[in-house]
Amino acid sequence: MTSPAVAAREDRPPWPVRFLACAPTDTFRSRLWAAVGPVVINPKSVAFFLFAFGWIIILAGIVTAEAAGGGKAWFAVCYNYMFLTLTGMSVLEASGVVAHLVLRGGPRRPILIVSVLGATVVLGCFVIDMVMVINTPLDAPAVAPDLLGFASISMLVAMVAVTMLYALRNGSGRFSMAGQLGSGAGSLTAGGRWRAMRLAARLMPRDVGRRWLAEAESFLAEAPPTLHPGAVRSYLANAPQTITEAWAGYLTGRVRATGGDLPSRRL
Amino acid sequence: MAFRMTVQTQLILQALLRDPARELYGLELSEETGLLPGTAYPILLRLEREGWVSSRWEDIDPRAEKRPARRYYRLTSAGASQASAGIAAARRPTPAALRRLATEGGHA
Repeated sequence: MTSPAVAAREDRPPWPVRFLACAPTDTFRSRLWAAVGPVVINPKSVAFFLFAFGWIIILAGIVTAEAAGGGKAWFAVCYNYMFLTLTGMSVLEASGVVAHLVLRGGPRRPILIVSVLGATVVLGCFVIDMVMVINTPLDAPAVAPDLLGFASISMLVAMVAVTMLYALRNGSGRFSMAGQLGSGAGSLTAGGRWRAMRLAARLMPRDVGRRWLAEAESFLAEAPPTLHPGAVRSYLANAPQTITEAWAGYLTGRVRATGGDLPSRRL
Repeated sequence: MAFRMTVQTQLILQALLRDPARELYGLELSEETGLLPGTAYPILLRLEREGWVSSRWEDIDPRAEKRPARRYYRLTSAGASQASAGIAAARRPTPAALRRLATEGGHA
């Protein structure tokens, strides 16, 4: 019987596909991770792939159109193609940057570099888009996008991006945080709740907060995974009571230590 | 006794009283009492504040053991006697319950 790990390795597509399935602004390390890790072709990489091929089509189109002495229809096809892929790249890249900034977990990446590169791509694509729109002559082919077309395409791609972000947050596979962490579907919710627990711990006296988190971590490390969601929920549900107890204990300790004379503001 | 002896508190005290010399950590306490760890934690904090329970971190190398250190809880000697008395008092029926029983008995 083949183990799941071996089966997954055998099912993997060849490395060029895996390499291209990676996001355009990802670091080399992430690309390497994508090449050796489980692969799901993602929308951003598809846009990147189409964008890269678009240049070849554009060049071929220009050459063909020049040779044919015009060829407005061909020009329009190339124009739309570039426009769509550029806008797609831009919005998908922006969603990627937002995802990197907002979401935690997954493979460790240099967030700043990814964000700066991503923002550069977004701005670059947007500028090229706008230059294309502004420079579209009034007698351009009817199929060339105008401002309305620009808005429609942007809306369409934004919807794709939102769907992708939703998948990042809630779905499965490489785009989900649970998939990236590789520890089951509960990881995502547990990850979000763990942040809430850290927040609650900040509301306690420092030592107690640290101890509360450390004990929770210790419990979760040893408890079976099926218990994790309920355990984290119970920690959060009882956080207000724990905070009260923690402060009561802290103040009691202070009173005992100072013999009943709590430090008070002197006028 | 400075706090209410809730059912959850009784469960924790009973688990610790089974063998007062034994130390229990979070998962064990949870398994023995059936309480979730978040529920047990504030109770343990309160018991510790009252001096009924003492706790300590396990002295291990987490890397070698491949798990974080546990926090062990045990009853103090004073806590054990107070806990026994507290549980016994909590099990005793209240005057109101006795009155209700008497009324129901009278009707029957």
